[in-house]
Amino acid sequence: MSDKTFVKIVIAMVVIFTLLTAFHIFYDVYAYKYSSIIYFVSKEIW
Amino acid sequence: MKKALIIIGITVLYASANLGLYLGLTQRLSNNYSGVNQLKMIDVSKFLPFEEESELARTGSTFHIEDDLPVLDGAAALVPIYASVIDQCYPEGCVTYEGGTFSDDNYYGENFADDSAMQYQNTVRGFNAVVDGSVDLFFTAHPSADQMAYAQEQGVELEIVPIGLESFVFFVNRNNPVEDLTVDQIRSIYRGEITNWSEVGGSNDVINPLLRIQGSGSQTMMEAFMQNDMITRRPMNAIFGKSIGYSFRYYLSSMVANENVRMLSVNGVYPSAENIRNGSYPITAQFYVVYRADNDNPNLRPLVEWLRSEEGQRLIEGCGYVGLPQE
Repeated sequence: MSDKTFVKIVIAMVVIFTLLTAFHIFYDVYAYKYSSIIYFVSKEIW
Repeated sequence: MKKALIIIGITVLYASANLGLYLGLTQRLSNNYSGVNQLKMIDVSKFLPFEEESELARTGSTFHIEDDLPVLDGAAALVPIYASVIDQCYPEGCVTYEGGTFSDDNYYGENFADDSAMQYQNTVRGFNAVVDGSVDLFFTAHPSADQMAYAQEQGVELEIVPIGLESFVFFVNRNNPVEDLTVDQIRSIYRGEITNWSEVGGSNDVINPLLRIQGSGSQTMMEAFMQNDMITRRPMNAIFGKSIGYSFRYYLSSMVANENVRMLSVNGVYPSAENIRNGSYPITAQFYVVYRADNDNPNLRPLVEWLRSEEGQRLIEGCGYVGLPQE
């Protein structure tokens, strides 16, 4: 694999993974607002 | 080889971050409109009138309606009561349940036909249905200021009649070592003055004071309990803290019984039925039926009177609630 190809792959991976992570965070922000509080408390990790 | 390690490293880094986020937060979020929580709101099919296996109070009634049936709707926690009323006072065949399929127009996944005497739209939409005239009698905690303002905007005068008592409870995860809070401590938590469980005898964890949606029965009750002086948003840094929430006792203990959630004593008194009945539990409120003052259904007011009669109160107690104090 050439360095140029490697850099392209890394950039593509970072962009895709960052977008997926951002989507995950956005989903959590939305769902946190509307989630069942009983369910939320019941799933708390101690 | 080095390039492969970098690619693997980036993948592991993002995967770890997302896995941590999932375990710490995402897996605890169940949207009120999602499949899991559809069951958690209330399974109306367990409370259908005239079905032998339904979990209703069949305490008997000498009051029967044959026509001009008032359409009943209510908050989730009060479904057993108005379903029992229909079962005991209405003619068989007046309820048409069409099953529960979630849709954008049916957030609670419970469908009744338009001409059914029983409806279930829960607090926010059901209250509006009374104002708009498609529901005759609505079973609820006291309407919120916004709901009353909505009625006023529509030029609708409402009658609000108490029919029973219910307690308001606070709950935590069953592993939370705190078992009791005072009224003052609860108010301080929900005013942002107490922010760590160690301040009330618990673990050294941030308190996550959960809130309900505006207009819901429990949020309206909470605002009254807090004398309209409480936080309106959950602090962001509390998201990974240990939570406290609130609800009505019957909803939490019977309808959404969850063994991983535990009710707290308040001022040293546990919210048992006995402690509500004898008045020692400190946060008890009336619940009501609401109807339009100009509703001319001839059976509506007699039904309300029956609910407050000895027979009606026996039905309410049979559902696990507490009747009004004897006059």
